[in-house]
Amino acid sequence: MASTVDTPASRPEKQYECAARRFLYIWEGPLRIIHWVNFFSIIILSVTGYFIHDPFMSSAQHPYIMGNVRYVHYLFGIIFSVNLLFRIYGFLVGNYFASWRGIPNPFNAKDRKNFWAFIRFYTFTGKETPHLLGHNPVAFCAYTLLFALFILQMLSGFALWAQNDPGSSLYAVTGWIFGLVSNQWVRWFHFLVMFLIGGFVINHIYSVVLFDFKSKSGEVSSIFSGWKPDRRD
Amino acid sequence: MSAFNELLATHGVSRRDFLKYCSTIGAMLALPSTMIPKIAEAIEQDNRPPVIWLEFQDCAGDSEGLLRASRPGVAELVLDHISLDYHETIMAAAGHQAEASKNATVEKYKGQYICIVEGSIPTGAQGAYCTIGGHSAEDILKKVGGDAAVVIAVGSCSAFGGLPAAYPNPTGAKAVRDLLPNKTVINLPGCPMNVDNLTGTIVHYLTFGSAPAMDRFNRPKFAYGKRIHDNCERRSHFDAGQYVENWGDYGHQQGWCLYKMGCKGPETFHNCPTLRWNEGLSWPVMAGHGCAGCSEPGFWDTMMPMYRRLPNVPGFGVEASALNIGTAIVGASAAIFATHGAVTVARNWKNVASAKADLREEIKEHSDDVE
Amino acid sequence: MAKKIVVDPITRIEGHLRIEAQIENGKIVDAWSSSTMYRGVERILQNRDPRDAWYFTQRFCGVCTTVHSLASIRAVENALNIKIPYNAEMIRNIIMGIQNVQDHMIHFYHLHALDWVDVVSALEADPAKTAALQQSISDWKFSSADYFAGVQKKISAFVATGKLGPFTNGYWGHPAMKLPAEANLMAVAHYLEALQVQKEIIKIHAILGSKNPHPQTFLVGGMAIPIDPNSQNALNADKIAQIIQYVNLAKEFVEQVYIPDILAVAPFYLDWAAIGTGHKNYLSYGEFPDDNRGYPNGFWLPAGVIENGDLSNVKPVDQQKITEYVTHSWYEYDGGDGVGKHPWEGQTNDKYTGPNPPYEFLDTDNKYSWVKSPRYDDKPMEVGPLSRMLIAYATGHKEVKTTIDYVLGQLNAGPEVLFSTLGRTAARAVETLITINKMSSWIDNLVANIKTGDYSIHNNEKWDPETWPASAKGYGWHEAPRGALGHWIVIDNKNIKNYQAVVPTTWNAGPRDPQGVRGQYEESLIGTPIADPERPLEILRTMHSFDPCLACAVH
Ligand code: HEM
Ligand code: HEM
Ligand code: NFV
Ligand code: SF4
Ligand code: SF4
Ligand code: F3S
Ligand SMILES: [Mg+2]
Repeated sequence: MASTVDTPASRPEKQYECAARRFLYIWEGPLRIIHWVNFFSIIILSVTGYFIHDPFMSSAQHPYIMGNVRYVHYLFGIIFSVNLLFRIYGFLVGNYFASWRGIPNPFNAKDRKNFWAFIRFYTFTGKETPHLLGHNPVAFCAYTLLFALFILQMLSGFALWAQNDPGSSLYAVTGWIFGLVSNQWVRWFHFLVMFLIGGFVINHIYSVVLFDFKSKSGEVSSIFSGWKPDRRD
Repeated sequence: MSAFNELLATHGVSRRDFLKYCSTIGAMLALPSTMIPKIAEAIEQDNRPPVIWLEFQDCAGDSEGLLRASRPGVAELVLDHISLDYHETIMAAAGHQAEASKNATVEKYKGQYICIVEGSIPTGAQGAYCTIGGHSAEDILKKVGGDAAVVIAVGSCSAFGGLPAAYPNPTGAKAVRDLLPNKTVINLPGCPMNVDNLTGTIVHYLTFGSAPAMDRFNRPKFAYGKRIHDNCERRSHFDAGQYVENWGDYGHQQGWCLYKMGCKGPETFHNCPTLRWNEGLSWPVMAGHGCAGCSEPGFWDTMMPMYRRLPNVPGFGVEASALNIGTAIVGASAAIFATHGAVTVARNWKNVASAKADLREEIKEHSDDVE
Repeated sequence: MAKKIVVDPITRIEGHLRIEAQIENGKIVDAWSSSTMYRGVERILQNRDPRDAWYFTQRFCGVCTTVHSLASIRAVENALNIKIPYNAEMIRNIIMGIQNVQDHMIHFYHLHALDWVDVVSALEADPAKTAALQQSISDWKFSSADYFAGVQKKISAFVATGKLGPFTNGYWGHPAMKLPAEANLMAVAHYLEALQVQKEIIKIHAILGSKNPHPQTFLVGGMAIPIDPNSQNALNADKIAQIIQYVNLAKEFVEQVYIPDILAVAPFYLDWAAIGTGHKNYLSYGEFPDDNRGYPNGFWLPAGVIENGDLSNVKPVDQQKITEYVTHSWYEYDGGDGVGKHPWEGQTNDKYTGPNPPYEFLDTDNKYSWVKSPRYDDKPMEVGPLSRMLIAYATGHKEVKTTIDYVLGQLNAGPEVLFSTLGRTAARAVETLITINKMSSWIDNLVANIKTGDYSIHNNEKWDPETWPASAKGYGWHEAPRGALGHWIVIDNKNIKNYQAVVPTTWNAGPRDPQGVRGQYEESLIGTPIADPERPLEILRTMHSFDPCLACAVH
């Protein structure tokens, strides 16, 4: 079930037909759940995080607003982090599309060719719309960076949290960060990563809609249902 | 042999040298020679540790802090508890006489005296950014600090480099710990340090014979073990979302939280709220101004701008706030993908048009079928 | 027989001052004043938020710990044309006033006194006679023979330990020490009392500004201490009562101890009324905005320039006439080191060209100090309490004139004795007295204004940098304990583009200018007799009369 470069553009006669004759189950349930838990916790963490940064509403709106907002931030910080750990676990044991087995291999000529096909597509320098069943290799790179940011966000978040008790075991685990950079930079970074994630989300949603439209691969629905049309015929 | 004589012996000072020293003192004070045994006796009984207080790239704020000591008061401290043999701002001697009294202590009490350092140490210009008696600060520190029993860095300048080390650190200013890596250095940062933390440290040292437990920045935990924010009397207002929005507004008058005015209490470890200043009278937040984070390493860069929550990227001025950078990142991605989308739509316009035409055709055919 | 001596460090001052002096036939014939420490804060300030500048400049000095904050916020307020509320003006006056009083008190008792007082000789004093002396000069409460016996016992026990601490190697028994043993004992007692008093009275800074040193309460546009008589978190009646308490304590000590001490000690040292004169040019910027016309109008102490000791002609001050030279300082200027630059165009590009440490002598023919050389209308100026008092005296200021005439009457001398080491020390005491007496009027003004229901302490209009013009420049002046202080700022695109401070001790301690005209310290040392070049007590006396602060001077 190696992925193929599908070139509907080279077969004009099939241009407007539904290409799929059958569907493939690509995104398994746990992965979809992880994706949407991730989605909601990031939205909530961003809203609450921004509020912590700039409490634009005051006690007039709610009697204990900062306390509660921080509570929600911390709570979803935990949910987000556990979710992240699940995803990492999935990376080890998940199906082909979810796990390390789907990593594009830079030493594999075909994977390299795919990579450049997607780059050409994104930069309007190629005529063809490439198609793959799993993550495309460019998106894969973006996800890798994103997960790096997630891990840093988790670490920085817990480190900031631990400061309220430098004697705690949480601080013992995270406090080393403050030996590298000051807590203000940790906070600065934690704040800035929110925007980096925001930048990713814009990119991400745009890209999935773009592919949905260009390669008619049912991208968007796949992350809800798990199924993608089999375009390999 | 008394403990004192033992101590002398371990440092190669013989009884004869010692008596000679006593008679020099006697001569200096124009006392009759019959007094010498009395002086010797007094010195033997006197257990005030000699202290050398060095000032380098400092503002003397910590020395002034010393003058505000109240438990014990400075007079008591200097007369009864320590022997302040060298302190440029206070001492009677000057020039060669001052240097001589410093050198005498270093030689006589090698490994026994306490060295207190105020101000950072410049490493640029071959040491010429700070010299005393023609010697560079770095040399003096290495000599005096190197032979001390313990080194206490008072104020953020000596503890962390402080103001002189703020970007772009024109003089290559460094902290004591950078230059005495193998020495026990107790850092008492703050700008200035709170003198009660100094007396606390000295008392701890004299009582237990060792440095107090310290954090990763060598700050004693008894003074720097908790965040300002977690001890602040305005904390309930923070949690409740009651903030000062403008200087002098209702919230300011009512003692609401200064978070939105840039208070750095949430990232600062110091005992200001519990110990307070000037004999426990007040501390910055109590008097209406936010904490500036003065006891944290590098606070001159990381805690500035003072009236904003997060630092700017150093060297780019007030424009480079995190919010501006973040907005730029999101704005740039939005712009890139909006452009990409527009180009995609434009390039596919023909296909979309023909797809629409086909669709119309198909619908027409379909409706024909139904008819 | 010529001999060049070095006194480094000059102690009992703030900072790192070094004097090299040429001595011939027991007198100083030439002198060089140098500061040997530089931090570069003017450079560190570049590109920062102008509203933060006060917090940085405050750390120029921890002794005159409020003055650079004030000069800084005034400079920004001047550049952005911000008028501050009347309450803030009065609170600033109270903070400045007690700063000057406390700083002068520490200076006299803890930095200057040991130049005139022989601590060891106090051991020989008769406590009963000391008590009689004390009772003859004032009603001060600590005046019994028992009290002085107690002080003497404490000191002799201390001396007997042989570990003299800060009193080691002092100039005890020096031939220039003239006080009788009883006066020495009295002074030692006051040294210890003043240690106690200074830390009490400065608590006014803690009440109004959280702590001292380095009170944290200044804001561009006003002050950070809110006012509300009905709040426990603001300046209220209770806190004002505490302030009044400390003012009264200070007043009592100044009136009953400091001033009587000066009058008692001065007669033994009248020769010092003809030593330490210098250029006799005096500058003051004026201080203590007295009414609500706002800075810089309506000063209690007047601004002015006196040239060549001519008290009949006090000229107005024009900030355009101020320049700084670096001909003999370790900096370089674009356009050559022979030109003077106005602070708005000023530069702080350090470049060390002196000998590498360790060294014995500086290269005094070339550059030899980190202090720049400020000039007014191309002339060196002395600044400080003496300048302020002379300008006020010459312009007929009521309190100043009465007090100085009284002191001169006691000493049986004319105003020309003021141009001297002793004059500087006396002028500082006079200023302390009139300032502590003036404090209550600022407190009264503040209270009267609060009574009208005006609680404002900050003008928010220009707080947000978005409201600022694209570029602006301004200057802020202040009469600090040591004299005329000015900060100049250039703001560009909400950032500090240039920041230059010309500080009291910069005026006094600066090296020669391109014409070879000496700085004020250098000039004032010329002709000073030196009894023993190995123990140059006389140099300390004149230097201390200026109350040097080198961290300020170089910054
Ligand atoms: C996508 C993930 C996250 C985003 C976007 C986010 C966003 C933010 C933002 C914007 C702030 C305010 C920073 C400031 O200006 O001071 C903040 C603070 C904080 N975040 Fe997060 N955060 C995320 C994840 C986490 C996680 C996983 C934790 C761990 C529990 C966490 C814990 C914290 C803590 C402790 C603070 C300090 C808040 C305070 O107590 O004052 N965050 N976060
Ligand atoms: C906070 C917002 C979001 C984040 C951080 C995010 C993150 C991710 C990640 C990390 C993946 C890779 C899946 C994996 O291997 O775990 C993914 C896949 C996917 N996401 Fe999202 N997502 C977000 C929102 C959305 C939204 C709103 C949609 C729907 C419009 C969406 C549609 C998809 C689709 C279709 C895939 C599969 C694409 C592929 O083939 O790689 N995502 N997303
Ligand atoms: N010179 C000086 Fe200062 C004062 N007074 C400041 O402006 O001492 Ni530190
Ligand atoms: S730490 Fe602060 S108070 Fe101490 S010397 Fe440095 S600037 Fe001055
Ligand atoms: S005033 Fe500062 S330290 Fe106090 S609760 Fe508010 S943010 Fe925290
Ligand atoms: S600025 Fe410093 S003095 Fe305390 S309140 Fe903040 S640590
Ligand atoms: Mg300057």
